[in-house]
Amino acid sequence: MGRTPAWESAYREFFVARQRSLMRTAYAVLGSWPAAEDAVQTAFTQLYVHWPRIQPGAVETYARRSVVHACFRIAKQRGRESATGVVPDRPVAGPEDGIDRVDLVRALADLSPRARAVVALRFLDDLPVAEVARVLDLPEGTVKSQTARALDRLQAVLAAPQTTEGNHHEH
Amino acid sequence: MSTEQVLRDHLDRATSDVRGGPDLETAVRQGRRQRRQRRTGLAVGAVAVVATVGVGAGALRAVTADDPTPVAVEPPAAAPPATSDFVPGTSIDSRMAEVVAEHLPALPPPDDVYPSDSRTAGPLPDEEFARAEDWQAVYTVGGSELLVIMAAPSEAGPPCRGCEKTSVPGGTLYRQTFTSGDPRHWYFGVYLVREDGSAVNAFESLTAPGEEAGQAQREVSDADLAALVQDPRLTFPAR
Repeated sequence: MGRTPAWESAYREFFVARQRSLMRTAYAVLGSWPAAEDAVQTAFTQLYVHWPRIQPGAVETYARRSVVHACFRIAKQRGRESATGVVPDRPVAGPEDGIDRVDLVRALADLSPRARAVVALRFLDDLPVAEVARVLDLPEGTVKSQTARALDRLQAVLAAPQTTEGNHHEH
Repeated sequence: MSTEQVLRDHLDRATSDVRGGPDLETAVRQGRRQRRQRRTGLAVGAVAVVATVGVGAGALRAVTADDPTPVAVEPPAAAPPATSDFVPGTSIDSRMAEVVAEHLPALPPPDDVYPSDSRTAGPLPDEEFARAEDWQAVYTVGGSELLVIMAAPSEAGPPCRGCEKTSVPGGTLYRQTFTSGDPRHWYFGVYLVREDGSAVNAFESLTAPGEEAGQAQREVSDADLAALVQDPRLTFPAR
């Protein structure tokens, strides 16, 4: 058995510190905790593979990029599954979830995966436009316009009064 | 309350009860396995990297290299050794490693071959390889690290200040010796900038008390690196 690399403890610390936050980001993009888990697990494996070559100041961006792109891959795969009649993994919410959570997840599902990522990075992770642009490899203007469009489309849900009742179909 | 703040609050609530999560030991186990797969061999102590032109010219202290003679070469005819598939979905990585192996057969297999770009320090995630502006291969050999960078024209850097410059067929060859950060950490670079702006950089780096001692410790000669960077197969693929 080989020696444990000297950097592995730093990787483990990063994993412990960041995995929950990255799960939330992935869930906001995918609307499914199991799918989010898959995306984040894949991203952390990639992060381990490249850890020694990633500059310390770039680890956070690398991890976010890996998670978001794993989400895109999973979303694309689910799109294909849906097109071939296989029921994709969709948001699951129980009675304890509350209407605003379910409605928001459903409303997010109407956006493209990239737009959902913009929303998650801007409003869940609270990243500035420039960092969102870096993570998604988009021009800042595109991030701004996608943010505006997403806000516009989510407006109805955001403006609705919150209630604890709903009639939502779970998939 | 602004719409943006409402959305923040909604997102915070909707994602706060995290269910499940990645498993650390699985990530480590899979990561170790992939690292082993990416490295078909392991040398002790040295690293070699091939990189793009323009790197290292800016804030680094340049010193004229001793041997200015560029070497124009025909690609070697020897059969390349088998290499790992570093980045799934593309053969650029393995082809790059094969070319390096043909020129420098004493090198071990690369530690890693990965896509990168001008905004990223180190690798891009593998799945983003289509966005790469350069490909980098890293080797450890003896007490040195070798980095080879194959860069697209879009990544052309500033003029190589303090470099020794020689015209060669198809472009310009630069040589540069410098330290960066640690004054004992020496870099010996040979770069080819083609007429279209694409580039191939090769750096050997090692720790030595001075330039002369560093030159004496080198595992790869400037002539070998010059031959390598001029290989036409090390051309960033057209998009």
